[in-house]
Amino acid sequence: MTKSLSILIVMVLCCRVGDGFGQTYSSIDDIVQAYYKAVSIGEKESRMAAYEDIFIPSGTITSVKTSATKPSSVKTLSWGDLIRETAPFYSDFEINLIENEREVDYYLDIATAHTLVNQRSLQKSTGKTYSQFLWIDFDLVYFDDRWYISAINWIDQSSRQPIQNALLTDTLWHQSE
Amino acid sequence: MHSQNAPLDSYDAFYLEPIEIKGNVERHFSDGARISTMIYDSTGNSQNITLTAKEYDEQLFMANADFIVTRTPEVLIYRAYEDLASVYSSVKIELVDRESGEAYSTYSVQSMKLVRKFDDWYITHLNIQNESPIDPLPAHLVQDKAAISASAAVEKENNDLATPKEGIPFDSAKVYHVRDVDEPPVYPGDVASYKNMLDQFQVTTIATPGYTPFIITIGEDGLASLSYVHDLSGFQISRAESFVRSMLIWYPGIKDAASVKCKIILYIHD
Repeated sequence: MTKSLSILIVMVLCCRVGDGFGQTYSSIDDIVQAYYKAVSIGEKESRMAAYEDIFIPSGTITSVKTSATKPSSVKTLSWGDLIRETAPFYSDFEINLIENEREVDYYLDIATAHTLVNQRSLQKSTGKTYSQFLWIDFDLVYFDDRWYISAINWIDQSSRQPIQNALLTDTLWHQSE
Repeated sequence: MHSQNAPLDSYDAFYLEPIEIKGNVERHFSDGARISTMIYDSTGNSQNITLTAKEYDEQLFMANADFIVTRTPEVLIYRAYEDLASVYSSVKIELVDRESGEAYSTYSVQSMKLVRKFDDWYITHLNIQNESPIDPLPAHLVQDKAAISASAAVEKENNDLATPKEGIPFDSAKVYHVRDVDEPPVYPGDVASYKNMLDQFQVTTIATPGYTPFIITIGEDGLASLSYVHDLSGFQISRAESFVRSMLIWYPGIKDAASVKCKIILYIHD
């Protein structure tokens, strides 16, 4: 009985070590889904731990917020600073990201996942849900047998064109002149 | 002064920038930008190194002391939406030793993100993957290699390319320019009906003042689709969509006796 218990404890520990939040992040889908999950965590310290698990330490997040009347506002923050800056927002809202479409560019140990996402924000005080569409662009790197996020760049849908245009591609033979 | 009004202008300027002056490279990056590079240890294990724009600038500056460095972007996949752009490309890097004159060349895949600030475009993130000798870049991502593949009979076949790629005369995934195919796509019916359709949607086939370019792709199956509309207004996009929807099925472009995807640049009235 004691022996069986010891084996069970060792197995449980082995599963947790290196698995982060129960994920191995061995696929691009794992790491992208883990980000959506991390964004939805309301409690700040847990959110910080989740981000730490999926980003490289120097990982960044760049947000581009469009405006109908002004130039877009652009901001790049480390993921830690982003969590600190958005803490007040999280105390008012619950966030959910729902992916609608994804394309991936991939070579060896780097990849870029382009996703179109519907962000739903539930205002806790009123019960109202606000929705916006985003193009989220994940820059990913693979080492230590798993994927990490090195940067996320996102932009919200403008009133000028549908967000689906973000995934229209052009492949060019290109020479700088 | 850094002043680039389109993402690809900034992209070009970055790779053409002379690196012998400190700060030349750094000024193409936005605040907080990072450069993330994959490197390998002696056992082949991958490691990630991340630099600030200033550190990256210094690294290129130091390389310039020993080598003449040329960075040439080759092929790219381009996406853009409003003030965010993503460019995924192969970049040929040539190094000429300043002392011995010995030349080296290598490729890397670089994923660049650009943002627009104050009407100029800046790099906000650059992910770099150097070519691995055990897993070379596929030919369709490297222009020089594609040329080698297409002329497999030439003496290049016998040089030090370990396993020359033969029998890859075309790439079914690639979208060809009309000038690169043996037979360009042909719209069915007579010329007059094609011209009528162009007139109806205020589209021309040549660059004309007051018209904005966009790109359609004719698939191997002859179906047309919109593939680049980033310079168009919302109204122009909906007109371009109607234009493409109204098309009959084309005779597809032909290369090496096979149907291939082909892109055509057209211009729509502002």
